[in-house]
Amino acid sequence: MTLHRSMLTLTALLSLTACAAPLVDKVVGRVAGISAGSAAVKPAEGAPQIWFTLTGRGIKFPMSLISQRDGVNVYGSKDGSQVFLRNGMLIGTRGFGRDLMSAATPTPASLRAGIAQPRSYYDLDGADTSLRHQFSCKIERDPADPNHVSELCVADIGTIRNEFWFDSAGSISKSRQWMSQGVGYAAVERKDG
Amino acid sequence: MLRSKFAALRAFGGCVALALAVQPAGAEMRPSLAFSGVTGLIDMPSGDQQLDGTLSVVKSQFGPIGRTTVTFQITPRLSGSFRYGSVKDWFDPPQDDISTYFDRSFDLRYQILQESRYIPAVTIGLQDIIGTGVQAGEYIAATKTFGDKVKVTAGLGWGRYGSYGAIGAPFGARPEIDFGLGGKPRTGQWFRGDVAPFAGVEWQVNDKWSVKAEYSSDGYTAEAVDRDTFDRKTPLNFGVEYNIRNTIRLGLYSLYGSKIGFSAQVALNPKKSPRGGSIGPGPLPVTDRRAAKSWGDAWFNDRGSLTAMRDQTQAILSRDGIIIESMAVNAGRVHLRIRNTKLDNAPQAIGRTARALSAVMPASVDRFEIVPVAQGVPLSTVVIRRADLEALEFAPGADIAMDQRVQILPAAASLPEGAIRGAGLYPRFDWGLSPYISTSLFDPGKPFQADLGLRLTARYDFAPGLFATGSITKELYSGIKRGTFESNTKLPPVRSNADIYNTEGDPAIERLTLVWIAKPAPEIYSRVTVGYLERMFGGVSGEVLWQKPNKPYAIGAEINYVKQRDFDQLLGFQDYSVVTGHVSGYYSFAGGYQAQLDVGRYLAGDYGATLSLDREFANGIKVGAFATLTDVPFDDFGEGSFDKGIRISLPLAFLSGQPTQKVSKLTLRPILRDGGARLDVENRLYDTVRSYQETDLDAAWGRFWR
Repeated sequence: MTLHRSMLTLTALLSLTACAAPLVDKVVGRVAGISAGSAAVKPAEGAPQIWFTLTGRGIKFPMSLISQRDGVNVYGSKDGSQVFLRNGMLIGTRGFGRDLMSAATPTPASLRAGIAQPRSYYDLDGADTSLRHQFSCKIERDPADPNHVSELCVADIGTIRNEFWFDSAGSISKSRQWMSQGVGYAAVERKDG
Repeated sequence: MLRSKFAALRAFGGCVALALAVQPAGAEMRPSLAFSGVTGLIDMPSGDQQLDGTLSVVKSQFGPIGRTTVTFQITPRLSGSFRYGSVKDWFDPPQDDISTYFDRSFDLRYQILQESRYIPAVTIGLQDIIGTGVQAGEYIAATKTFGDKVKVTAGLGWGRYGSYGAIGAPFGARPEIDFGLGGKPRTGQWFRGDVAPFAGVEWQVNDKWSVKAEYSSDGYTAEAVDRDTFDRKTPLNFGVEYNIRNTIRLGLYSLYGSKIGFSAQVALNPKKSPRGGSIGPGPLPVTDRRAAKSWGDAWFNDRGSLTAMRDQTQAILSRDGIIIESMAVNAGRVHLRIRNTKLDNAPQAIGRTARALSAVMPASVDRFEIVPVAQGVPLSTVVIRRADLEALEFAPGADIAMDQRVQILPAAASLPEGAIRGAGLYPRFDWGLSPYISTSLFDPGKPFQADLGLRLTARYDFAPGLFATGSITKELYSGIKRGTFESNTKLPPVRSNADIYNTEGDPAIERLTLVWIAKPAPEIYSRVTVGYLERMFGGVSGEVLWQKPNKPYAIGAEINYVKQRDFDQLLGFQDYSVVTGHVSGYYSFAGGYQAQLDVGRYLAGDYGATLSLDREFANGIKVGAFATLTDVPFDDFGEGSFDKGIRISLPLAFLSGQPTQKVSKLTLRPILRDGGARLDVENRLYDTVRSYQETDLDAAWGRFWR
């Protein structure tokens, strides 16, 4: 938070010296009856939920299914952030800062079968330039728990370790997956009740 | 749109790399900043550079010596600095009640060698190139990093940096130069006269703390010897610095054996947003067309259905501050004109509009033509296939794939057949009331002054592109006093009476204009503005711009007849009037460099040209410099010799991560005089038009799916 405040200081310095600020542009924002109400996409009543944890930030919150298309479930939180899960694999996030814009991931079946596949993560740097991070991966099985699989991946930006827990039907019931350099890991759990 | 624009970062191959423990990023030492604001030690520069694009501000003080410096890392090897320095007790006895000497200076540094395993980073620096020369000095500095904790710097200095412990004058004596009015490079002095060595070491104790020591070759001849403003006892300086999250450093130092010094350094990396990126809410996901709203079979040519489609689309877009200007739908395509009032990123506004259309449009509509509109005129036509939208939403590298499939076409002014307008847009009245701060910088007696007050703005839109706007200010706190010195200009006082305008005008009509912006042809834009155009001038202003949506260049021309306004900034005019205008060329170079050349007649009736160069990032951060040369001789121009300055734009969205189009803008001129002065009319076409042309859309396209 100190960082944020420091930036504000710099902004303050800049705004302070901006002699003749642009004028009317700011007024235009109130055209056409736009209310500043919540911009978050609302889930349907009783939509399925997951627990989502930003492990680095120590925040856990529920997210509700807001869209299901093309084999991907999109879950949204109350404040409008979103995650994209394809069969439980995290392939996108929106609204967390350094978001995962898209990803190529292995399928749960190949993970479970112990077949390693490369991963591609796409994110944006602070200047909104798209970056691709290519990881090569290997699979580690948990000798004590046949339903627990770890995926170790390495790229120029570092090593990551994704972990998956499968249910008896072969679906991912719980996972800890890497999101981005800025955010770190996220844990996803079914909220079956 | 066939530009690959992601840096592909290749993975380490195989399992060998897996065995290596990866070091956390940031183990390397971040280059620190010196008292003079450039990359360096304490009072001495180093061979390092900041990360490419870094914008830094350093405020430092020891004893009577104070400096505030803005530095921009223009390219990975080249940096430029603008400095405002002060020396207390310089005038003894005080002259005109002033005892402090203020002075502006400008530096350039170029790194001739980048650090590698055996080779140090080597930088050549020119300090105070075009000012009065009081700070003038040149240096060559080498810096080598040992491990990841220690940096050693050694260098040779001339001028200021050769004024203590000189070891000779290899390139001959340093000629005395009469700087006269300043503003011109003193190339004849560079690397002449005494040369002296300097050196220092920096030890980064941990992530937070670092310790520095140096031997300074700056003798402070003028400050310590000639004018006795402080006692320079030793050449040795020591200090500790505390690093806050890699953005701020605070330092405490012992300088020259007699003074305690401090410095505050803020370094902003435009490629590293403080929030990591946008934290605004996510989009409405793409709707499968089988699940999209059904309109039956009778929707075609049915005005009621079309109105309902417009209103439903608007309801979705309102969340993001996007306003529908018009909508036309036929069996296969929708043509939607939008105004983006909130999102800071243009492709993001287009992406969200496309997704809203996917939720509302009948299944047969596969071609989405999205036309962004600013000030009533359509800027370009972004054509998106609905099938691409559906296929790519969750695809790896979706932004690049989408970028390759959309088309950017010119947009005609006329609406397609059957279009209906947005609800309640024309005519329309809007107003706002907000606080303002206006500042006056660099007055020799009072270098920083500010007024606070309220600004009332109003706008009436008659029709698309035709509107009246005005703004009135009322001062609440008056901090700006009449300047220390009267204008002594030899030209018509078109800008040098800024002081009088600042102290008078309460209330003031800042602007009151009737504006007509139009698009006579798909690639030609026009503007006519009549009224009180700016604080100091009123009259008529006309402009045309030729811009093809898929070209990185544009050409424009502007002509104005203006009369100088009364100092009270109400309705009256003074006697001075002038015809002023320019032909302008604009060019976007690859990598975010932007050039503009204006040739024409300026406000004081002088003829000449202005060259502006800016480095721009897709997130809206811009840093640039400009200079104007006209037929006014340097002697007639007065102090500074010609008009020049630097400018910085910092979008608030970069700092807050929230969607907003607010931008902090700062223009710094060492001195504002009458030669080479341009009219400050609003709504110039190029800035209105450019962000929705292909070059700018391409650069920011990464946020289409955001």
